Amino acid sequence: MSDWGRIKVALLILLLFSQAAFLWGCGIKSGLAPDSESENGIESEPGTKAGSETKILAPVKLNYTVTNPLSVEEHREEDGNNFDYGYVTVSGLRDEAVQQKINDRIKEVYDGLRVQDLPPYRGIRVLVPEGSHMESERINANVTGNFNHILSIMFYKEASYLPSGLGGLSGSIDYGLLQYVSEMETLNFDLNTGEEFELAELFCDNVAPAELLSDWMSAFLARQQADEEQYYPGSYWGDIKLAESFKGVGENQKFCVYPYGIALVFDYLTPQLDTGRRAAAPVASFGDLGETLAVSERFFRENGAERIFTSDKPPVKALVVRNFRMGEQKSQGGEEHYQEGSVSIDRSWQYPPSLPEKLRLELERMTAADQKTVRELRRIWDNAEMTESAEDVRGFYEIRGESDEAGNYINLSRNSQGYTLDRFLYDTECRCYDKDTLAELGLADIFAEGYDYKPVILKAIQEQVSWKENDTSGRSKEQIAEDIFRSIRGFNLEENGLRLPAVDPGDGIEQHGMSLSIPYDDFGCENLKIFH
Amino acid sequence: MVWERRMKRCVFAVTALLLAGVFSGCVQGGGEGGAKQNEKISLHLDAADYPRVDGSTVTIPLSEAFAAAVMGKDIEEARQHIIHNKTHEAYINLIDGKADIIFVTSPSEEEFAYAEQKGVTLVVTPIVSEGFVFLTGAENPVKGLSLEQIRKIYTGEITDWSEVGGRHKGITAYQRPENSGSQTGMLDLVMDGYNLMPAPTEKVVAEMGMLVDAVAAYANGEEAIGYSYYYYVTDMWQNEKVGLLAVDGVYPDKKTISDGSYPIRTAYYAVIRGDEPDDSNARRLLDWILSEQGQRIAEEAGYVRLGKN
Repeated sequence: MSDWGRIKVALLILLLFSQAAFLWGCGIKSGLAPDSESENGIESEPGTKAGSETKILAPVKLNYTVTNPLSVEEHREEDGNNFDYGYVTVSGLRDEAVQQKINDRIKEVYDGLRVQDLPPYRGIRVLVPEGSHMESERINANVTGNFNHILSIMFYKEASYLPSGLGGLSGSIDYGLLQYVSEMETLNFDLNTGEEFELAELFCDNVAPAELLSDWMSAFLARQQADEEQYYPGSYWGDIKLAESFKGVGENQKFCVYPYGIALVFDYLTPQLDTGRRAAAPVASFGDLGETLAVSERFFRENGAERIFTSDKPPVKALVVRNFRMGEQKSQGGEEHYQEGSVSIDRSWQYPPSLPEKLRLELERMTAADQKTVRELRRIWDNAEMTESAEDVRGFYEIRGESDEAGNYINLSRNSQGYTLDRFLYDTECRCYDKDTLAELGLADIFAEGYDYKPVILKAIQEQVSWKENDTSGRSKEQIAEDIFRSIRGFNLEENGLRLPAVDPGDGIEQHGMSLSIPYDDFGCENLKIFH
Repeated sequence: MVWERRMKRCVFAVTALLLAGVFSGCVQGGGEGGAKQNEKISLHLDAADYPRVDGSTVTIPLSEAFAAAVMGKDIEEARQHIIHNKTHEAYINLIDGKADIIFVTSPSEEEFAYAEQKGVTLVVTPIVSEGFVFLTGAENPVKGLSLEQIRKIYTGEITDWSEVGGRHKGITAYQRPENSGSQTGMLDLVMDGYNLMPAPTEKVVAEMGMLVDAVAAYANGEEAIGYSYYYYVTDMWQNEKVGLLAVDGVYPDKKTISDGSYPIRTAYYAVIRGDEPDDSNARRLLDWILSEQGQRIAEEAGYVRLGKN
């Protein structure tokens, strides 16, 4: 081909690319396409890229993820002092070439961070002028998401500098003079191919990700009062300030994936936001993004024939937690403080705004002071024959109620503790509801028909109370476990396992609450209806 | 990785130029907030000679655009030499001699008092105009209010949009946190001694996970009214969903704010110490900012050039 021919081809490719970029930037209307009728997208091949003929259409329900059976090995290089570096490699993929490609890319980014000069934040040449000493530096690589054939890695690099003439490594340091700089790099791999995927590929084909995320970010910045200089209650991400009006999330937005959401990284590449000289990564939860995500479909088909991992073990699954407890999460609730006789009662309850009214009322009822406990606290005090005035506060009773969502389930929980003199009274109660019907679930409801879950719970109890081998009541370990099993007061479904509150009745008045956490994998995810 | 991202940005820059060529048939020179290509800037200072600047967060891009033009650097490089420590700290740094010129909102009583205590005279010069604007949902048929109606809404005297020509719908009059820049602007520029009614509040998660009541953040909708500075709503995301309200019949835009016809105006200022020598680089920079060239660069950076106000 002649030079001119090559130029024409290059220009044509450039033009096509620019048109695609233009159309991506414009986006289609957010929300769902009018003809999208599918309950859960449509058939798609694993590894299908956005824009191919096979489309994944919203709404797609994302209730759980399937963990990739990869081994992650951390490699550290450190001087035992202020310089500490680490990266990871992964193993467990059948295709060694793909695995090598991923590990090479991880190492490449790590090596780049090792040699990289100061990141070009605003003001950095003022605070870290030429001749400054680097006092510390560390790099960590964290696997943030490892599910549904997605591998997401975030590198966090932080360095501190001391301007020249202000001491240094060999002398004493005024730590107040140190200037800290941080940055983040992210990698997001499709484990089928080892290729990095784009942010848009996490979303269904009939949603406009740029628009959706810009809307989310816009609301987030409003909640943070990001156009004001000061920090306010609720400004959990108070270090993200607007230097100009927010014009939307850009096409090169850095991101990484968690099992519960997508983190958007803001740093020197996004100067419309002033983050100081640090990278910030607020997380848009999957709950916030609605049923627009293709993470359960894009790279993965649960019952597909493809086997990309060397492990033959049954898959381990996790529920998607929608209202994860991050500081910026808006929440609802109430509180009450009052006194009954000599007992000060302090009760509060918190829940996500999406909690149905019926369960809000139930949560409020759950956090009511238990009169039996109040009477017991007063009795203990009265029997102590103390001489102080009965009007004085001599007992405290704190009750906390919370709610969150995991998968298609809603959890309510209540934790309380009462204390007076040297006595403590603990109590925990959990309840779990089906999100669609709001019916309360019993333990048997979450397991497959005919599956006997009790032995697994008994085993977990025995492990947790193994220190009770010398139980003075003369009960056997098996009997103790049975007693505790019978005391279980409901359950919550958490991200990776079942939470069961219990007590040992054998402890008598000294009984302490215990919270059993049993991984779903211990039961076998195939035996849990919540993953069907 | 960084290099790769920069390359991607270059590609996007090229494609943007190509698209511009395809769709408009012309290419406008000049960079982001900087001077036009090949334009001779009438003031040149190297990074080492550039005055020590400080300022408010809202003037960061302004300051960076000035520095880029005067230093002859691209904006990404110039940005690294500019630091703004927020309004109050900037005033303190100027008064304490740690900064030579600051780009800020107007000084508070506290800052004036500190200057007086230190024996420093502050020379406060407006460098760009600013408007204080009111927002509502774009679907709201009310497109304008009088200043008096706004005051009555915020004192709680007017509670329904139908009282000001809109549909029968209660007004949610959002405010901003106490002592914030926008709330101070509301009190000083709009309320003129009238008392604001209590602000709508919402629960937020604060330290230790506790719920506290906080001033509710503006949530767009037909029932909503809120306020901000024009700079922050220019070209912002979702502009098609948010409507700016005309005040006393004048719609806020760069022209009406600059020429003084929009009634609620303020400015951003350059402040130097009174004892700054006549030929100092800080004074030379200030003179240049007030020149036609400086004003044009401010405008290109998204601010409103000085007008009659």
